[in-house]
Amino acid sequence: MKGLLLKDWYVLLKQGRIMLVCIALYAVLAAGGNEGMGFFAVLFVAMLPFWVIGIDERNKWDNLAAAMPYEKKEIVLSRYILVGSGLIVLIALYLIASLAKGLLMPQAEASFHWQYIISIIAIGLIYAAINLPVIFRLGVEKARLWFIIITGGIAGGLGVYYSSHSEGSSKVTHFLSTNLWFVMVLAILLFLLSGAISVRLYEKREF
Amino acid sequence: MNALEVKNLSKTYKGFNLSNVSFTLPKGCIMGLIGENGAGKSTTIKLIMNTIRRDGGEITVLGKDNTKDFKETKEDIGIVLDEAYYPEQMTVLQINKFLKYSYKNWEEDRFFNYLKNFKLPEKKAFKEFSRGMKMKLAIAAAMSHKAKLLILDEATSGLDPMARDEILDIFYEYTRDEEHTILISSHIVSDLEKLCDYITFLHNGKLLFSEEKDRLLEEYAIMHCSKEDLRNIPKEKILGKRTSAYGADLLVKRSNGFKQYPLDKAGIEDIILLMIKEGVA
Repeated sequence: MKGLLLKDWYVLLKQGRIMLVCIALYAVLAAGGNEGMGFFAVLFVAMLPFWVIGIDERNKWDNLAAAMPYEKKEIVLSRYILVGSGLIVLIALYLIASLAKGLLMPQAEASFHWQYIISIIAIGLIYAAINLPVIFRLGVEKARLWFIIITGGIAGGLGVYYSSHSEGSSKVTHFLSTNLWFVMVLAILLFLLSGAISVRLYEKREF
Repeated sequence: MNALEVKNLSKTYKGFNLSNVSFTLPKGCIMGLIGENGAGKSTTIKLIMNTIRRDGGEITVLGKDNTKDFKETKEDIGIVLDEAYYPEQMTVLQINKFLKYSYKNWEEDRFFNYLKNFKLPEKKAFKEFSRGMKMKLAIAAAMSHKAKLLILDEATSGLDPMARDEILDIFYEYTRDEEHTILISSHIVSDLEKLCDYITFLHNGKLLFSEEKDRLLEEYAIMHCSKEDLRNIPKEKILGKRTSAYGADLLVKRSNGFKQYPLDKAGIEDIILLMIKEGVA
């Protein structure tokens, strides 16, 4: 598995450099007070595997990987680990930038909030958890339409839900914002379940 | 002991059917897998590597069923597919590092020695390599982790004759160790004739023969006869036929008689071409 992660890293360094720079920049901007940037950063992290899988498909990498001493399970899980480690690095960057801001500008309002960190991690995990099984089943090329439908569906659904200002939606929003650890556990469970589903789907594919 | 045993192997795709393919490759030998495009060579190799599911049959690789704990067995297999398939952004140095963490028995020194012999640049991105260079890199990788079985799918295609000759010598040298075995598919029959101990011929998804090369060369012959003589020869004894205005060249087995006719040696290429022409498949 170490080899697979190293290979993904080399590919990202060459072809995903802009994406990596954006993630780092957004993390710093989020720590600087622009919290919306953190959500962009986390979505970029969740999309890293799509990027790598797309490049692999172009190179027909899966044909070779399947013939090497790797199980299909490892190939799938390495992409989930990529998201997990990407989120850890993102949070580390955010914390370092927040600390630096605190040291350089002691009078500024503290930007470090656990609630915020939990929210963005949960979003990253859920976003990857929903999309990755589709990609492992269909491949990036064919999954593109699904990817747009899912992303649009989630964004549109949330928008409609929050703008409805119904009593139900207010209660749910209140519950989620006051029980962020529950949201986090749910996101982790969803991420793990997604990993298991992706393994099953990928094992059915032939190369 | 056999390095590879394939029994009644079947796989059906839409428009293609690999049916009941069986052959055995003894340890320490080289087997050539021959067949035209779409004959089923790559499908057979994919089934051996268990990258596609078989519909029927059994495959034993290095004494183990290839559907059970195959990851361990794959450590002992050096694979070269019809393309190199490494991510094109990676350099040779990066590929070395990736392979080092992928194979338990990775031999870095051996890998770099091959690179030096093949004159492959270490820092150039893979995408800048020619097809020949890519195949050489794949061959170097396959031979640098103490593999006991090399599986090569069109590994020499795209190489110039000099490079092919050099690589065939390396393969030949590799099998001097009696633990080392090679299964190689190729369109270039002359290469296989030079290199292989066994020849397995697939045509339209069916196995036409899997024999020792020397036995094939001893047993099969080309018989020259007139069109009149052709009418007197039992059809079941004609394995292949090429007719011209002056007569006919027939592929026959020496063991079936024909002492009264002039018989020429049949090369592997003659055998497979005439067999396909006659439609024995």
